[in-house]
Amino acid sequence: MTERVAIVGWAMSRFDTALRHLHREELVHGVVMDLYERTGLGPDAVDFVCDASDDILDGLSISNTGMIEAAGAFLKEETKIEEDGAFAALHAYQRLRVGTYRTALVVAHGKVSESSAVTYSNTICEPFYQRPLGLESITAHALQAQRFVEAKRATAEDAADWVVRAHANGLRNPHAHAARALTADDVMKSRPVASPLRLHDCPPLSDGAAALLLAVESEATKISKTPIWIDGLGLSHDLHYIGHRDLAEGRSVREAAERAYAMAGIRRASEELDVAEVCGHFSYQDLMLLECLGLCETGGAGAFARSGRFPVNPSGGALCADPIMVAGLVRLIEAARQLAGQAGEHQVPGNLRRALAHASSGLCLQSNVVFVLQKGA
Amino acid sequence: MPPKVACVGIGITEQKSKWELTLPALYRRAAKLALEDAGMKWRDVDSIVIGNSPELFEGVNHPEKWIGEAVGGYGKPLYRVHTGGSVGGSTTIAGYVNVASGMYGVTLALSGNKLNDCAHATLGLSTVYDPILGRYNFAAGAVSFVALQARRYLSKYGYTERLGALVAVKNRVAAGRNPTAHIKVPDNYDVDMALAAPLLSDPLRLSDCCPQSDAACAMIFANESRARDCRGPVAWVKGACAVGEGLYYAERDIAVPIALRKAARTAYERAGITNPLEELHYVEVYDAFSYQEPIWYEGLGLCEWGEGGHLFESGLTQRGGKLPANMSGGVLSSNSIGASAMIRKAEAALQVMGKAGARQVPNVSLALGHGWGGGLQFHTLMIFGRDP
Repeated sequence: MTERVAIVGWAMSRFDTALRHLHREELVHGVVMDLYERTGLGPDAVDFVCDASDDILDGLSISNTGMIEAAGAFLKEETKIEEDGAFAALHAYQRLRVGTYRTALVVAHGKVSESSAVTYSNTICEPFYQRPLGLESITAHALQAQRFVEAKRATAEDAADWVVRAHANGLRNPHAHAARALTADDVMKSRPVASPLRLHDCPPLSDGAAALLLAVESEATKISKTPIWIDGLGLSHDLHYIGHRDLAEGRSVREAAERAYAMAGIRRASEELDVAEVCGHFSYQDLMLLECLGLCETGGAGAFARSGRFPVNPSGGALCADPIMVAGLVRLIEAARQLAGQAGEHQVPGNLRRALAHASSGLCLQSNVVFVLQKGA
Repeated sequence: MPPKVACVGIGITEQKSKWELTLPALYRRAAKLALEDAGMKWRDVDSIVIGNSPELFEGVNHPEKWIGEAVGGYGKPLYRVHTGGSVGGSTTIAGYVNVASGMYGVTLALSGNKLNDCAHATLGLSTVYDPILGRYNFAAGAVSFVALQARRYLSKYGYTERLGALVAVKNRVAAGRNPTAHIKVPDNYDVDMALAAPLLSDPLRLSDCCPQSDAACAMIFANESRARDCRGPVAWVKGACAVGEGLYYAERDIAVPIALRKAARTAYERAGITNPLEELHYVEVYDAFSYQEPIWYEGLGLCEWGEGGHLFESGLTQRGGKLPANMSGGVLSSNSIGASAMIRKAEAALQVMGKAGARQVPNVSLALGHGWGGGLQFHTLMIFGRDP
């Protein structure tokens, strides 16, 4: 019988536009040492280490060559998943289910300040048809946002209200480095970036790293007083060419959510879940995710968000801090923090039992992973 | 005990200098070969793991995003692994883990590269070095690093350059029996011919170095019930392990692969092997450079440290020997990097299945495939057995 798996520890670096004083190895070493300190464990307690980073972002082929010592993985079983850290968490979860390992450490880092976000995302596009257009994260997501608006699923006002709310949440979260007090007017009058996206609809550029410790049940209860169980997990992949997809459909988000909900036995997401951390990189994308994750009706994301009846992104989300390769893992950590009652100033009040965490990889939500977390037995 | 998992299908494309196919099309070719081999359809695949080495080879970031739909990934759970040269091994292990986790019945694992889409593989490999610590005066791809490893090995244990030439002759000649191999030599190829090859980076001669190839490999892993539905022979996973060590620490001896020794001990324990030299019937090591084959023998615990060269010279790992190694021609004869570590596992599995064609070794019921990557620091192993 496979043991259940829990999140038993986490750590995040400071996120900022440029963490110039830290080399990437120092950044990773910092979060791993912090995680050890928080859990009272050391490298001997870790059976398997999974890194997440990107060669092009790091400007370093095989970007994990220097991470072995930094992550405490010397002569340990290890691998690297070259997707957002949340996908590395998924792989680590599967490792623990095999029964060979008892604990797994996941580490993700990104230092976009030493690199180029445009090159990072433009080179995700295949080289023949999409890349020569200059398509990259902002232009691709502007097309997605435009399609979402045209399908009458959200308005510029909906997006602006969402940004205001996200930033207000972020102001309570010390990791949300870009959070600021904004009005809807500020958002709607901010500089146009790529129609319909304006400056405040877009995420900041962030450097940062995060670490997560997973353990099988018999170990988890020894390590943590409040293990956060992974009850459901879903992963899916969509077509690459953005012209081949209805960009507002979010098919792979829906599939990943369906799989996670089926595994966790959830039928009505907004009623059975208590909090969600979703990894939209742009305002409209967050709204689209609310629909695709089944938290609200189609076309109802704006009203759902404004009602405030369901807490989404109490951390402020990726709109307030968006370290590439790390942002999705941060959603998972933030969801776990909420359930553990350890979210500090941005803790959602009340008895939270179940949480959702979402992360994506690629442009316009091409690949997605959804976790359902639970506190208590 | 982990659940039983088997490799039920294998696809290896021809390994050659230029495939006139896009990267996704090459992966698709490997996937179709593996499905055909397993007697499966696209719909039988529950999840997919894609491996691909440094993005700087093809200049495509997150290549799984482009490759995914070409290998049946639309709507399926799919993620990517990348650990450098060991990626094929890391991807093989991830494919196994997907099934062993109980979450998927059948997983398609694929790994490959088109090195000839890159100006030169050495460009993509020189950027492995740290921009401050290693890039300015030292970096020259893998060749300069492995030259240091080879020189260290020769001087530490008193071997001569003849050892590299002997390995080159064994593996290059063996490639003649492998229809997918890239570099093939005439049967009269000998040590003198190998030693006459131009020197690239002392002591490495052209004959001691792998070519740069385009290739992809696919392996299908299935749980016990799905594996038993397969008509053909299958290779059961007996043990798998990947261990890493540091790159730049001061007291490192690159001729003593401690990470491989740790990985081997762990994998043997999982497979119930106590004496690998006696119990294994076949090994495929990642011999990107000739001198590495005896070094990896030592890491695998087939002999004591320093004895790998003598083990090789004894002929024990030749065709007809007690433990034949790299009858595929090895990485020395074909190296796409991305596919190579998976092909080592695939060749071991093919030997166990009895499907290795002209390179088949008789009566293989336990075989091991190896891969290394990064700065000689990541080692991946998988052991296959005929019985579950």
